[in-house]
Amino acid sequence: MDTTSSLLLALLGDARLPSGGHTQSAGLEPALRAGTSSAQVPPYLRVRLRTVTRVEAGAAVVARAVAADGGDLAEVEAAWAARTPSQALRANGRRLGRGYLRVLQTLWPGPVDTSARTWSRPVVLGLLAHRAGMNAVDLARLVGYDDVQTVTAALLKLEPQDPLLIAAWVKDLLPDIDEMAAQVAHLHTTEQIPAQGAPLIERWAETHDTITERLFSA
Amino acid sequence: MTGPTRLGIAPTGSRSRLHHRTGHLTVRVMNQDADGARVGLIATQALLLSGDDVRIEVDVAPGAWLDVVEATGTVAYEGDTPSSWTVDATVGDGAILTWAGKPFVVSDEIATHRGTRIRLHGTGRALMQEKIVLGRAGQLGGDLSMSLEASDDTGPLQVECLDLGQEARQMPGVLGNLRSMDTVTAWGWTPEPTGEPEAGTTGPGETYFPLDRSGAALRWMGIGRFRDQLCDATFAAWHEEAMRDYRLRHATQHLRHARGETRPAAHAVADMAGRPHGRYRWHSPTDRREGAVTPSAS
Repeated sequence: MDTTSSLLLALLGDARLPSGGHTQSAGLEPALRAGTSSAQVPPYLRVRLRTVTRVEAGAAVVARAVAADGGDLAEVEAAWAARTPSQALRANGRRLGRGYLRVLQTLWPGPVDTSARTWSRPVVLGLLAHRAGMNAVDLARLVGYDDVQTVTAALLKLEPQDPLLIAAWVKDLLPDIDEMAAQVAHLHTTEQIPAQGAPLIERWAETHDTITERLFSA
Repeated sequence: MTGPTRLGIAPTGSRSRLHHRTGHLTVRVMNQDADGARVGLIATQALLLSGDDVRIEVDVAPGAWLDVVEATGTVAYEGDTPSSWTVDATVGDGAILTWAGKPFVVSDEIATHRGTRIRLHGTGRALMQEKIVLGRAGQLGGDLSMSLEASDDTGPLQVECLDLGQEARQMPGVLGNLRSMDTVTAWGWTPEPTGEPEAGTTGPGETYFPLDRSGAALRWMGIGRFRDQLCDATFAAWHEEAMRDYRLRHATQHLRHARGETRPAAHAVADMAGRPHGRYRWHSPTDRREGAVTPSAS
């Protein structure tokens, strides 16, 4: 199971997986527009791992546990939505959810709830992890790693620079991803999902949503 | 150790029944009628000192209204032992709670926590304004953490934890160099912003956040003193809207009582389930045909 899960992590964490990740900057584009410098990207990523990404990872882990128990994933979706004050981020999360739903239905076909098309990425990822046999800590790592890679890949498009330097940042953040994953991997119930917010990230997301000249959708 | 401040209100036939227990705060009635009251919260001692845990428990009975006004701002003073300020409120079916907060100023050298818990039942609504300032004059401010949990009979409406500790808040995406935050939040219906929030691309300014199910928040963040124009005006407008809906609903109910009608069962069931998004009609189809009061909240 563990070997399978680590290869699964490679498959699902690969930017070449056609899940819609290329449209995303994980909030980096509006952050740069608001004056964040590219040198501040590592601390920006640490903030995300402590706040919005932790919420997402926690929701995914709980969705996996609820799916395993045959529970109602709509309750996990509601808990995630209550922890995501930005309408733009909720809409984006649900768009991404539909992308992962296609991955799920093609790679691990099986019955899904009729409301699954309205679920956000963490909820669909939780169901996918349950069906694919991925363990909770790897699922949380996947959410954290995907977020870090999304930001850094977007940085190379928004402010081109030495890609190896950026890869070194990602490597340096791996312990932070592991730490976040360890904090959420044991969660089981919707009430336990973290709710850490980041007021400026949420404000920037709303502002970005109104801008027409942009490279990334969020 | 000082116990919690308790405040409860229930409608009666003539004058509403207001009961309270004095803790760190006491209550002064500013205005009262058969269904509710407007009260001021006044500190009974110097607040908020290191080690103080101020707890305020509020119960608004079904059908009642309660306006809470903080008489003065609060300073969380420095000290080795953390302090806290928590509000725990229950709002019954058809009831409304509004809370006009004054600035909460976090001094240097203190770790303080603000906690808010709101439980709505049926068609209950709540409206709150919360102003925080990090640092007194010439200070950067200590460590603040905030937690909010609002729910109705269906489930969670909003859950938020903010770590505004000195190190955490200065990181990109949290507060950066901003030091003040003013948040007006409605739960139980989704009012629109009254003005045009200044979109802006940088830190300071207002943002309107419609919540997923039933509620909305307007949040201003800035540097130093409160310079926002929109939050106070929005609180006033949302307050007026909520009270107008409340009064209309009561008028309709009283009319119905006077005519010896009871509410249709389907409406009662919808109320129990908590209706979505505030586009409520408080009247029954019978009312509409007869041309009675037909409020449509928005």
